[in-house]
Amino acid sequence: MKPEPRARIGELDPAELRGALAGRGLVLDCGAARIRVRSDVAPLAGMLQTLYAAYPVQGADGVFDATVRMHRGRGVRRVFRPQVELLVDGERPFEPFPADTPVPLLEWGINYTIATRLNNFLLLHAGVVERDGRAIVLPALPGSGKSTLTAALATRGFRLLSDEFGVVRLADSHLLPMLRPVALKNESIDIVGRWAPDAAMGPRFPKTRKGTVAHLAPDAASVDRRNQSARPAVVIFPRFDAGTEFELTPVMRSRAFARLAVNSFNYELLGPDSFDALTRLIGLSDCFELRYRSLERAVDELGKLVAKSDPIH
Amino acid sequence: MTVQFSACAGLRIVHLDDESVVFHPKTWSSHLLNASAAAVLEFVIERSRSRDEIETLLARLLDPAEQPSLLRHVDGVIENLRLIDLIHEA
Repeated sequence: MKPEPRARIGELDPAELRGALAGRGLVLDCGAARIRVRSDVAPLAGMLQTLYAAYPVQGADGVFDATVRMHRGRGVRRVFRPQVELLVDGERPFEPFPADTPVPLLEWGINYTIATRLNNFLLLHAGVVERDGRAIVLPALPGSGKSTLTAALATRGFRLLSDEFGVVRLADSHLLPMLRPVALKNESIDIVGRWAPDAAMGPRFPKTRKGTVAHLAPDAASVDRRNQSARPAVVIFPRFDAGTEFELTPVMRSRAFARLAVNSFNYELLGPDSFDALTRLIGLSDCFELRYRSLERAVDELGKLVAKSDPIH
Repeated sequence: MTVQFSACAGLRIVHLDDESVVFHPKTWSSHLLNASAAAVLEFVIERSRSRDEIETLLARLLDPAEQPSLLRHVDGVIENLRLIDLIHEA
């Protein structure tokens, strides 16, 4: 009997996955971008199989937004304090990493690639989740707890679009998925681990320049809808605050516009197109600042907020 | 001859709550304007205006408590709009 065609990366035979990575490449279809990954770093295959388990197996020929290649260090760096190096379409955006941190290097490299290349969209530095057709945009400075909150929402009934990129379609300001594993740092790894003990998490990488890093794998439902856009409804500027259980404060739309524009990867580059797209997005959204220490309360209240938000203003 | 102020051509203005955001097509810069600055800019976009006309506009818009600082306010708004190249002397 012929075996069923393998639909997802998680179902591949590990040897076949290693062979694909070492050969024509493994395709990561993230929704708004398709990235081809090639690598001779053997441990990477198993890690990717966990983090991208739900992603479809796709042919490695065709057009991609980028091809990233990770290889082991050359010469002495293959053996002595071994390193891994990342190339993006032949160029090296970062210095090599220690060989035991392939996933952080890959994920940051892909982030860098998206942030510098995907200029057919307005790219906000934000997490994005969606429920009932309404998207919550979570722009935040690093360290504000954005990824923790995004992960918590994504494991409580919200569809995950991204924890790093708010990809805004210029024509109508809808958000597009840039679906990738959620990068968690330091304490947030255990927080999310307790919050969603059944969620698939990749290995921990201590001693990165951001501390200890681990990644939460996107769920299959979010992956299957990675080509579905979402209408913006709510913009939340989150900040974890140990002194505040939960506080949601309205933000003037004009001020939210300014904060989003400053927190964008390419607002200035796109000129009038980004101005139009961002003003339209803000016009469709209710905007708030959130201070919280209770993840349970934050997720519950944001669920209610989205349920009663009317995206048509 | 009285100095007149004109708005730069092609400005895109969007009202968001009580303030406005403006895009300058020549510099590709974006600006957030408070209510006073937005009112003056739209006033000047209609046609060139003198300082006295702008002062009359702002006198109508300001709260009574702010009236003593009207002159300084007018100068400040005009100067700030000039600095970011949204208006210029006609």
